[in-house]
Amino acid sequence: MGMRKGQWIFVTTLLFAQCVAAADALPLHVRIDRHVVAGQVGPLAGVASDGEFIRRLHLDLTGRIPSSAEARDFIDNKSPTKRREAIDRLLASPEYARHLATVFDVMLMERRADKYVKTPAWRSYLRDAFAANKPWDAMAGEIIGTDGNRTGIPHAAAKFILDREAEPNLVTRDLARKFFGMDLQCAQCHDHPNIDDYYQRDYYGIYAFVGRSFVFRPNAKKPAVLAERASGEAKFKSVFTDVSGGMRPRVPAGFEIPEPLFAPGDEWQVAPIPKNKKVRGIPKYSRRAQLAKHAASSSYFRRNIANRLWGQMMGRALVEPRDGLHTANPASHPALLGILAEDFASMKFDVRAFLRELALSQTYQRQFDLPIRMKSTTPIATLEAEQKKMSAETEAAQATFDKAHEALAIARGERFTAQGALDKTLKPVTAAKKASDAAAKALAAAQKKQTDKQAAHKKVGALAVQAKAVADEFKEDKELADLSAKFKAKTTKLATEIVAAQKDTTTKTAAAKTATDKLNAAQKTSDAARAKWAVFDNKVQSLDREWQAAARVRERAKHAEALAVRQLEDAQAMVVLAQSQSAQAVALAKVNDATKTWAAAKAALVPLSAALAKVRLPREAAQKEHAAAVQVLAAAQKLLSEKQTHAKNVAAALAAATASAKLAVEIAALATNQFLAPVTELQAPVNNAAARSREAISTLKILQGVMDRDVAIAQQKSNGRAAIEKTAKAKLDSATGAVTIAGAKLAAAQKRARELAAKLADTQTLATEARAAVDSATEKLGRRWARNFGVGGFTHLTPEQLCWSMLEASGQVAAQRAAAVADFKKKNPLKDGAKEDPARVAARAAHVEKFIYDKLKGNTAIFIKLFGGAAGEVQTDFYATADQALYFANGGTVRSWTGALTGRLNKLTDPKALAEELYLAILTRRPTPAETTSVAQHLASQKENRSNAIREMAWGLMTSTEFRFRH
Amino acid sequence: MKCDYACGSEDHLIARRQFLGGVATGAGAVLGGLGAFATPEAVAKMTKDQKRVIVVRMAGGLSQLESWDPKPGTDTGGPFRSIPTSVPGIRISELLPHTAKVMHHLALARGINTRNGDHGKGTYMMLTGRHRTPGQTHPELGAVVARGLDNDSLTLPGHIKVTSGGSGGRNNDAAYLGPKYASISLGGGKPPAYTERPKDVTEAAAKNQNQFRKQANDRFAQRRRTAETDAYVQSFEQAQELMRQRDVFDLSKESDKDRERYGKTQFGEHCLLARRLVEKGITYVQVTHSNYDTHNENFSFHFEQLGEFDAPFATLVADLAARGLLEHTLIVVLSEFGRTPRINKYYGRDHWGNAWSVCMGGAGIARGAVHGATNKNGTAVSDGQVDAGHLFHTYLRALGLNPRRNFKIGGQKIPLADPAFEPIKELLA
Repeated sequence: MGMRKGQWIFVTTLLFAQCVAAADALPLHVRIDRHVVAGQVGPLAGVASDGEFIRRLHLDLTGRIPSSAEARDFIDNKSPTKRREAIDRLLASPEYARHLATVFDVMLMERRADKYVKTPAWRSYLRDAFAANKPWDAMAGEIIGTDGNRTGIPHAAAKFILDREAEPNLVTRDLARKFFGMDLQCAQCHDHPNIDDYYQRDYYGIYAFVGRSFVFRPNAKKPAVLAERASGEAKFKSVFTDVSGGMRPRVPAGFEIPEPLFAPGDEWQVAPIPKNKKVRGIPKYSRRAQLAKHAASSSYFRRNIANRLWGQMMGRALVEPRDGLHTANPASHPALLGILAEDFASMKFDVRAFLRELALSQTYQRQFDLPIRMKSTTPIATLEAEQKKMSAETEAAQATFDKAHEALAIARGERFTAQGALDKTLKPVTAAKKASDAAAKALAAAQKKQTDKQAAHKKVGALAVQAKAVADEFKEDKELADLSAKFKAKTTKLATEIVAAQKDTTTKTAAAKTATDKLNAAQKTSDAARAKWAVFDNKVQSLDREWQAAARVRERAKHAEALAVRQLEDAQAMVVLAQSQSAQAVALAKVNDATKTWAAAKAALVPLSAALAKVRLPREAAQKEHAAAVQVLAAAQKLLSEKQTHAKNVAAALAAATASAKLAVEIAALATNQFLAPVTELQAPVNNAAARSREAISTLKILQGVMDRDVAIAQQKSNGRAAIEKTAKAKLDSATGAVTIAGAKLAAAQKRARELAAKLADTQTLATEARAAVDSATEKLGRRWARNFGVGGFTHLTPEQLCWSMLEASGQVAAQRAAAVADFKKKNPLKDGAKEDPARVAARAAHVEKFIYDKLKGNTAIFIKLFGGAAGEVQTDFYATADQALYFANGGTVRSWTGALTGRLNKLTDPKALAEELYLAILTRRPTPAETTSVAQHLASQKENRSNAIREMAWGLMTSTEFRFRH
Repeated sequence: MKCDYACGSEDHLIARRQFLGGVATGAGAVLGGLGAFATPEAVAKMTKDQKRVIVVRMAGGLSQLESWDPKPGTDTGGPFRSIPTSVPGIRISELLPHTAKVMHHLALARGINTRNGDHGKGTYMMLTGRHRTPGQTHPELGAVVARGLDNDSLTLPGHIKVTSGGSGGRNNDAAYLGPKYASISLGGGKPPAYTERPKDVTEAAAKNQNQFRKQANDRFAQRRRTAETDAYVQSFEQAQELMRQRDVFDLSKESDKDRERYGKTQFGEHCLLARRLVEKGITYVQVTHSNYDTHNENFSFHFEQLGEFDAPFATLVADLAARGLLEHTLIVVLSEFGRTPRINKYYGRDHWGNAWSVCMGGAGIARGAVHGATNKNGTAVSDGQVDAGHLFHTYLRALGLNPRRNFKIGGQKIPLADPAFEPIKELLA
């Protein structure tokens, strides 16, 4: 496999070098792969399995995973063209249009709350557009350009601007983000501080298109539409540099659009009436319509959509964030984005055809796990040299660009001043025009008056002549004479009035001439100012062209540099991984060694323990024997001591008796003393006492003899026992000695074993650290490979994808599908003998899709709330929060959905078949043998409640990472 | 000018890795779950030193004249007198007798001028510290604080709003900081939604299904493991942790005596719940007291409302002080705006953002301080004028957060607080 891949890289790299000129002839998907391969300095992941491919394709093109039947059909299909067929089938499905409508709604509106246009109507507009495969430039043109009141364009198409209240700054920011891939927020107040390519004039160039638009809704019962003023310029001032500027409409990376000049008052197609708020003014020249017309001419417009559609298919856009298209944030393959953009444009922005090319590429169909052996194909030194070379080129290009930028800035400043001067001349022209018009009107009135008088004079004069003639004929008739006089007087009066009127005309003629002269003079001044402005404007336009050229050169240089940097860093990351892996190998080897030594030491403990046990036995016997001897000796000693005490007592009694006998003798002697008067009556008791004493003495002496003998016997016995004890003691001492020696040996060995265990623990810690380092390096490299599309796209499911996939996996969609088909048959019965034609098949597919969608769409709300970003925020970020998991665990919904799947699975008696269906339905793959076993075991453990067991497994798989992520 | 940071998503991912609790520091920690680092001692220590916030939102617009800045005896003063407090020289409305006794724990900003009289804009401004601009929504104080003070040992949500009703759930107030820092509502003071295992799921069943989830996850991790997959795996452990610690949100675990002390009103209960939550280590708790929008009958309404507010609030302040929590806990009593000094014909006061007050205290705030003043009858700020942005900076500073620091969001730097303002030094300890 590795060999084959290596060859392929080599071949295509060669081809790439040779075929650049002829490359245009190749299909886009082939060129995509060549670019990705050519830009790679390490191995690419292999081809995704059929299961992975079909799951991915379904998610990307229809917004949900395939059903188990769809998965099985595809995986078991042997056709070599099945992937291409699947791509075409899904692109033609009604789900495709629905899914893209959702994707574009979320992308364009970011889940804002509805204002003037309801989301279903807007989605329906988008869905119809994608179903009809309306070219993206036309769609974008409608969304940007419609006022909500155009024939052939649904009102809902105006949502993008209407629901942002046509607030010019908000609309400008989001137009730039969504249609041009530029977040120009910072450029509203100054040139972007951190992004070289974003200028305040970019912001106001877009602003100029929309600054005149506003929401028009005189009647709250009728839908809001957009109206536009005929004037209003985009002027700005940098809060950093205080430099002011003005912009005509200009798309990013384009030129200011030349505009028609209207005479004052002549700007309106339908002029607004200040007193009638119900009349919507329509200017002859709509700037917003110009944006619709010119948007697609911007390279940013094309790159933006190509980047977004790429992201939609690959799970990751070439440039992320998607509204961060600028040279400091280059694509992994900068030239590729340009190719995609221009190709998409030359495909006439055919979304379906473009997505098809993306899906056909090997880049799309790559496996999502990192290749096992990550090794750079180019030496780091070469890459470093390349990177240095590119940096130097960038610097040079930057210098040229800076010069062009400076020159343009100066010219724009001059033009701004000239614009100010021109603006000043416009008011006098308007005033002079007004005065001149008034004078002309007055002159015309005077002239008319004069003419009228002259005509009257002529008529009355003629009558006066006739009247005079008649009066002369009838001289007596006074009435006729009076009449004639009256005519005469009138004629005279008219003659006078003619003179006055002539005079007035002369005056007015002079006045009109003065006014005209003034107007001409003002116009001349203005024309002169305009001519002056035009000179500066021309200069700006010409310098702008130079600027654009320099910007392109700089961009190319920066892109080349970025590619070189990326490749170098990719190679370095592979080195880091390799190093961490070898460090880990070393650490593991150390763990191994330490484990071995430790085990040996531990093993050595066994004989020592046995030896100790062996010597412990005799010691125990000796201990017992000695203890017995000690006991016996103690008994003998105790007896001896008792006998001795006894003997002592006898001896004491004998001594006392002897003393008392002596006393009695002395008393007797006293009683018989001749010198004393004899006490005869005492003699008898004294003699008795002496006799008793003697008696006692003799008895005691006998007793003493007995005692002495007893003591002697006891003494002898004790001595004998002591000898026995001594022998036992000696035996014990010897046994203890043996134990001590064996114990010391064992303790020493144990100490060593403990030391080795500690050492092992240390090496294990190091191994854990080494493993963490490998994990970290792998993760970093994984991120890099995801960025350079060396692995298959890996991203989380959107809230809608997650919801619909869970509905599909749990069997809810299948249940509705059956109902939908029945509903279709009922509503469109097949006439006898008629066969299904393609039109009917298509109609049924559309009916089924709509039926299922309408029945189940309500379920998405909670998923959007839990898994989506906040309204008006970026919606592509991933969030994992506890409340999501809590909802899955305790919300009840997901578990109850699995009822349909459980019912189906419970009919399968064979655990193997059940496991297969379970995994196909939820994970679009067959289970591994281990997984099959696990399923069987789980079923066996809950024989009495099989459906519970199935439900638990279904829940576990549906909440797994494998389900949560698109891979 | 050169780009000084990576505008790609590298930073973003790194930030996310921090949010994950350190994938880089040890692979085991993530798979090992929360138990791996949340040792009881560590949690105890963290709980003690960790900074916290309680915000009492006086919805509708509290009258500064009936609370923190009374002007008795003037044409605008209304019928209530002022009373002395535990801080010599500070007098507040007689409607707050209990609060007056704990004034030495608190501080006042009396020179607020937000130039706004719109409920929505005012709330936005006071909670985000920024004026609303088209095309950009900023996160509320709770989200900023929850993210700013987040660390690995915190296993409970950092941003809680106690609401008077509703079913609870996650709110939309974290803007670009993302749902992790969005507030969780405790509807009617009840624990967060779905923290209880349904009756029809046995413990064994829950264990079994999680076992299957883990088995699938482990297999998948062999093929590809990213910060995102780890975060997803961990979210289930966080959920289990939350279920385990559900009692934290259960007011019935407080003693009857305490429940008596805080009173049986909903606001009293919410104050006690706030105490419980900060004690258990929740970073930010917001309690709402409603409603002060007194276009009619301003005085009787404030008499009633503040009568309900005063005792439980003072009890809360005193309790936190007695338990040593006040030095770590910032307390703020705010509104969307104040009320007009002029009394209208319905004896009401209307919306007024030009001269009003906010009360704060606790962590990092100078005790008994007053900054700013209004003129004699309260119709204008006469000294120390501040805007919502200054207050926001002050709160962050008081919590030890640098308001000038940036959040890195998708390659863009966004400062924690509006850079046009700065903290009120006079109110900082």
